[in-house]
Amino acid sequence: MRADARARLDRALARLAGGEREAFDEVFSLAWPVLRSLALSLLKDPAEAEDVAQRALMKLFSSASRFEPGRSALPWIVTFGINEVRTSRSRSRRRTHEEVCPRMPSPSDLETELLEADLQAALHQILGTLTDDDRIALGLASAEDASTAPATRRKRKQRALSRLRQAWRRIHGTAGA
Amino acid sequence: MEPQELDRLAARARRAYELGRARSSIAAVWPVLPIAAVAAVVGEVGITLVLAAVLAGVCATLVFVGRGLDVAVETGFKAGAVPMVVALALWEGQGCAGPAMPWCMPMCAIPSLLVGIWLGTKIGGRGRAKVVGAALVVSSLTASLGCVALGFGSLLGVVLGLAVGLGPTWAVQIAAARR
Repeated sequence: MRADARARLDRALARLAGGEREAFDEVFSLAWPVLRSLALSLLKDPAEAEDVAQRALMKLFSSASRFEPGRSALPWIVTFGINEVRTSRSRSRRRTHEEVCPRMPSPSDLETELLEADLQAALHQILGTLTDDDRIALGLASAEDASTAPATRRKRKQRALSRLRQAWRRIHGTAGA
Repeated sequence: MEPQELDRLAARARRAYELGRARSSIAAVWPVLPIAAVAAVVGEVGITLVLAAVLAGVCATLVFVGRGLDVAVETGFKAGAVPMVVALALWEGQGCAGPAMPWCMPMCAIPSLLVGIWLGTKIGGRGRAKVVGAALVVSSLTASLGCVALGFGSLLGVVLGLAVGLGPTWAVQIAAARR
């Protein structure tokens, strides 16, 4: 940008910051090419560069009333462009990372899986000590005789549960199950 | 980029600018809150809240419009705070109870007169009629938050004091600039 254009931009942005809406067109016509060429030079994709430049322009005008007269306008405007390019790059990096590593299990997921595996191994060990009749009574195996009276089935289940508790206590030391 | 697209982009940017100014104007009126809180605790709550709401609305509008009017807000707050504090101190110290009441009526007018002179030297000048008018409104409303406790006659004293103090100072500055 030439020196006279920079000076015009300084004056126009200072006027806009003070509330003079007439300066809007001048700031727009000078700031938009700066942001657009900056985004195009820093990003490979022209469509993405256009989006980034537009977002930076909106942020620039949204903050225009905070511009302090006496400061140089060009570095202030370029800061908006660079920040927006950085945001866009980190967003696309995050997107790429998610595509390459889809849903890595979190440490808490891994811990839960290990605990469940331990519990299943302990359960298999206990169930191995039970007789077939006990497993049928506990509903862990089929082939219950339909003719068995409900009271008898209940009694068998109670006895099977009692033996299961004893087996758990014998192997693991506490009354779980 | 097509000219139509550029026009649409400019319209969006203009909206973003106005929204940004609106946000800044709301943020700029925060001094009204502590001033109103003090006035409401010491003075009367109802009328204080009404005056504070009007003051906040006026200040937000002035900051939003800009064009130098935002300068009037800060200066007006400072100028109006002096008669407000004097009035609230007299009210809280029972200095205006009973027979002393007639003496209290000018207690808002006198500080307002002095503050009006200060206001004239601070922001007066050629071509600044709108800024001076805006500062007069903001300082009157700020002072009223305290002076209303001393009666509605005090409010008249505030406006007259500020106007009498500010007017001549402003006129002298304009005359000096013409010479």
